[in-house]
Amino acid sequence: MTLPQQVRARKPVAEGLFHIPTGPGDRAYLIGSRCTKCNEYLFPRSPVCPACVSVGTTEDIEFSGRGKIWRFIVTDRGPTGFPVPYIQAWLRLDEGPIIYSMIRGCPPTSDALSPGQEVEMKLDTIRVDENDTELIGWTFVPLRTDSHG
Amino acid sequence: MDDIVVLGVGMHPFGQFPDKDIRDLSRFAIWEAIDDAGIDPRAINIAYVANCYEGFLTGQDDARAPIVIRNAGLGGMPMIQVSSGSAAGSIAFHEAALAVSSGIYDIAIAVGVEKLYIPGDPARSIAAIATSGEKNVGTDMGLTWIAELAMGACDLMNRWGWTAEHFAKVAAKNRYNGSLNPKAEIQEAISWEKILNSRVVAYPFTRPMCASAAVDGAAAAILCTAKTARKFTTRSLPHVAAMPFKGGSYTRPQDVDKEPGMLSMNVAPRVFADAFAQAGVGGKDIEIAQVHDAISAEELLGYQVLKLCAPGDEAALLESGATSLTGRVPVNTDGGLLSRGHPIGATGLAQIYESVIQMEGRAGARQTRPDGTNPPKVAAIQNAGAFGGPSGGVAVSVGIILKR
Repeated sequence: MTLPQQVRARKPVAEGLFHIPTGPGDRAYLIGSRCTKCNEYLFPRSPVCPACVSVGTTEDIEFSGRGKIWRFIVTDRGPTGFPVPYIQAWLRLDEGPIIYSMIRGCPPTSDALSPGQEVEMKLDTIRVDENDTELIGWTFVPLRTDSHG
Repeated sequence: MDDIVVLGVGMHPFGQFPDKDIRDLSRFAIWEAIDDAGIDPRAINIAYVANCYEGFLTGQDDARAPIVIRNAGLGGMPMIQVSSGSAAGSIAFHEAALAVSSGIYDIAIAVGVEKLYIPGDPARSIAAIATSGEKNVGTDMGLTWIAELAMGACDLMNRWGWTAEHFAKVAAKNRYNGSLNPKAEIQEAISWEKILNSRVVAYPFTRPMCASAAVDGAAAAILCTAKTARKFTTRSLPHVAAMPFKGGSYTRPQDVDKEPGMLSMNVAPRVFADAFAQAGVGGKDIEIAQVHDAISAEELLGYQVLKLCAPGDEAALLESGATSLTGRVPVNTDGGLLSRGHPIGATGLAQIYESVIQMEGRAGARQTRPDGTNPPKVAAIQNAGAFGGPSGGVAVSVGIILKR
């Protein structure tokens, strides 16, 4: 008889921001809003549109998960629990909004990326908290166009 | 509206004080301000206390204004706690000035205090400051203030022709100023070459180009109307010529490149447009400025926002020496956030402290005389707080102009 392997508890960093796939064929996505009055896309989901200053005009949308790097930087220090160094970035989602994300899937060096580079969303462990729980959130990884994935 | 004057200022030195808590730090600053004002402290009848992280760091989530005021030996007055990151001290000053201008309160005190030095745990200080950003979409995902500022600065290097060497020279200037300030966190001058070759924190920013997250300190200012002040002193006191305070607003993603480009400065042009109009001055009239240099690139952008030079001429202005202690418009004369230190809630009031003692000619070894003879008569103070994204509009900005 073997003891069950110790597995950390996992939970999302915050509720209501993204969808975690529940089974095969289900897709992870960021949850946002689109204003039906001015067509502004918003992240996170918002019952008001700050672009045209309206309430009740927004509908929920699922973001495609594709975007481009707008700005990025490599930092060698972070808050408690964040493994350093890591890449911080502002991204322009294909639908419009600028959002914050860590970039994974490439070395944490300033020559590993460039502004305008295409990236795609991947849910991942953001950090391990003080209760040894893995906090799950969005990260983005450079989009690979080669067949090796 | 009567002129609002600064009757007295006080400051606990900034630095690392493991044996002191926010009560000890603020008590020192409050009583130094009381002595400076030359008043019976019982005449103070409203208090604003700026503090951001004592709740996060110690669990003292509430009642910090009464705790600070009572532990200074004062009481029996309204006590209001304010926050919003690095702008908290300026917001306390703004509110205190409003209170006395209302005519309801005679004398107000604004206090800023922060205790962020945690021996052996710098990540905890960074985690505390991260609570000044919108958590769920930014700081919980790893966003830090230094990185947010550095990302903006990297863009601006291309736009305005700034280089890492310029960032190092701003830091070297401010470290020199801090070396003449006995209350500065860091009192050691350092060459720009050495700064350029120091450890990289967020490329191209090295450690001396970024304010420390782990610093303690407190500062205070006592305000009243010019009419009330005449009961206590015949001195000519600096008065508040303008103090606009604005929060950010939503920026459409396609418009973000039209903004100044660093979050801390995006609201500042609108703030200073109002400040200049209210005070009846322009950038060319400013004789001394305290600018929010959490990373050294912000000071360069501050030159542009405060109209000390034309856009694109920031590096030339720096290289000309105009913003050094002996220049025509000295900037960050106490060392700025980089050298005086940046205990978040106390910073805005330290900027007031420095402006006041400079204008009154009592800044000692770092006293400036922009016209060659007299202390500065027009001082500008730029401060900003909170963070979290180019479109988010979470940041707030305060611009204060003092005249004497």
